Amino acid sequence: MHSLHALDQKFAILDELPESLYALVITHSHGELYQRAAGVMQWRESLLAGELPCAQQLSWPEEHICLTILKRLEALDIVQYCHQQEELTDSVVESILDGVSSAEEFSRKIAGVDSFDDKQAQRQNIRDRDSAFEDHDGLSDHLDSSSAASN
Amino acid sequence: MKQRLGKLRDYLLHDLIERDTAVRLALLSALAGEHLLLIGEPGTAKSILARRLHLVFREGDYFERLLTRFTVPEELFGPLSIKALENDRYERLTKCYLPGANIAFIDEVFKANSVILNALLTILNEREFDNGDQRIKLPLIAVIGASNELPDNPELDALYDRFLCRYKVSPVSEKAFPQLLALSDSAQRPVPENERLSMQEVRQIQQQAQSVTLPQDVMLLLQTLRLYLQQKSLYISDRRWRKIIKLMQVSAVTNERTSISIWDCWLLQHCLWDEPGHRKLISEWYQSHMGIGSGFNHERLEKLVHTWETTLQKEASSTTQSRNAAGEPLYEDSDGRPTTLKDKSKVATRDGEPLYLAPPDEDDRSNKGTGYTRDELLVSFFDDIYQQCHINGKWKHINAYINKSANRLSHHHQNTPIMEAARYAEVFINARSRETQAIFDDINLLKGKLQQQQLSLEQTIAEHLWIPAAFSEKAARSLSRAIEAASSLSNRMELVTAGYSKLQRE
Repeated sequence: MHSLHALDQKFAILDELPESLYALVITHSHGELYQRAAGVMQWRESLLAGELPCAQQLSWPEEHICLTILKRLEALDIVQYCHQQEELTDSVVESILDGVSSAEEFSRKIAGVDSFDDKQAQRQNIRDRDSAFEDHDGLSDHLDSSSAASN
Repeated sequence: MKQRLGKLRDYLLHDLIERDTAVRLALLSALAGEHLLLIGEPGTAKSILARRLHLVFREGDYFERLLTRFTVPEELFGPLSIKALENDRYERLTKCYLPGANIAFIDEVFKANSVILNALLTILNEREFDNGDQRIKLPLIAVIGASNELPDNPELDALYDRFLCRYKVSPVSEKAFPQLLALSDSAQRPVPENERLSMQEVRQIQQQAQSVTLPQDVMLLLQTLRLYLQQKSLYISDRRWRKIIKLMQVSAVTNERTSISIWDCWLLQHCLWDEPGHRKLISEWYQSHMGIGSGFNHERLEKLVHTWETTLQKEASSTTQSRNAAGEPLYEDSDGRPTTLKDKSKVATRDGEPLYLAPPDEDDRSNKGTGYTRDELLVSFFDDIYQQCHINGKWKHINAYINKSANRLSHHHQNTPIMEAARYAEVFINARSRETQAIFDDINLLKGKLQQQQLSLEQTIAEHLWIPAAFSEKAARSLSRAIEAASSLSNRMELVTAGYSKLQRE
């Protein structure tokens, strides 16, 4: 049972959202509001630190979408530029929110197919780079699943 | 007993201005067997309070001493017994001194020097005194310590920690100053003998308090508060937490309850601070926890609801172009009829006569949109004899020129798109309804909690012996306002949810 204080604390996460992302996060359709807000703040914090967040620790979005976005961001190699750059970071987070909406819509359209393959991420010209993300299904052709898993 | 304690409290309060909390803390801590520290300027009724507190009890002596850096143990613990010394015993005559008192007032307590500090600590903590080779049990109920300032010597930390309740006494406010000036010097009302408390009754209260339970909500509050204090780098000893529970148990039992209430936790602010500024911090945290003061963040939820209201308004008033059965976008032509054509060209005429463009080498072929009739073309651009004009290196007759449709002046009509309210996918509407309903439910949950809090306030705090009426009234007002605000937000969010269910479906 929630105490009044616990309930207040639950709402308090909304205060942390930057103004530019507030309405987008509030009215986003993926996931539960407070989990979403906390997740977005995790993304933002990591990006501002110039790092990709750890997929296992992210509370939002769902894992399969999350991994796809992480692979895409890794491929774009944009994260290093986000370091302490609030405006750029918020713009990237905004794109992540859009990306999650698209992925969710796509998943809905192909209901019954339980995986979401990001062909665009696969097409990135990143053959020479290692990825930190495991790719058990071999979806991303630039990854060596066995070596990635051992990292 | 509650009624009697209320009378005793009011006796202590008589003619004391703005000492409500200090008096309540003094009596409660005495009943709980804890000591109270009063921090404040001289002449702020600290010693009067201690003297009155002593009169609340039937038996026992009162002891009062002002400490200085040069105070010797004899002044506090009694002189050495010459008789005992003659018999090779090192003993003090403790009667009429601190070891013989049940209520003691020690002014400037932090001036205690190391010679008396250890014995004082034992007295405060164990209620025992080493007299010669014997450790004797003391009748001490409580000590009220007073000081102008907080201890700045680490040696005094242990002594400071012995005072569970701490209260900063300020001079009377400007508002109450006339009341202070108008006080009469009439003798203090005596406490009727039958109202006074015996030691046995005090022990009985403490015994009953042991069976007072600690409910889950209080447990949660204390756990959360401990984490909060840790975040603020405020360390509270385990012993202090235990003593606080004991104090709240006494608060509960004296208020004729069998379990601690979250309202008893009001006392925490007077038990957990090391510096007076911390008290405000703890008090604000507590009020926030209880949904009073800043506890109900109306602005936060207002912003959330407003965001959804704006989004709904935008989505409900959003329009999209109408389409025919084949899915082609529809426009309205110049006659107001629907068409799939985006625009329409209409041949221009003047008084029924068709209009033409000037030959291509002219800068303004349309003649500022008015065109040329056949005769105007002839006069302006064609020769009179052969009715020809040199166009693109060739002679062209006027009849051939006007027969070419490209040379006709035509007016383009841009058809207006036919708009209709945007239609949304069922899945979109369902997602929106779910999201807004969840917020509506949360606000209602909050409203329910606030109402529960209000009920609990009415039941628990109204006649609470140890919580000043000013706090109860403030809490009641604050909760009423919070409930009102939550109701309004709940109604607005309900309208948003209903608004989404009315969106046009695809």
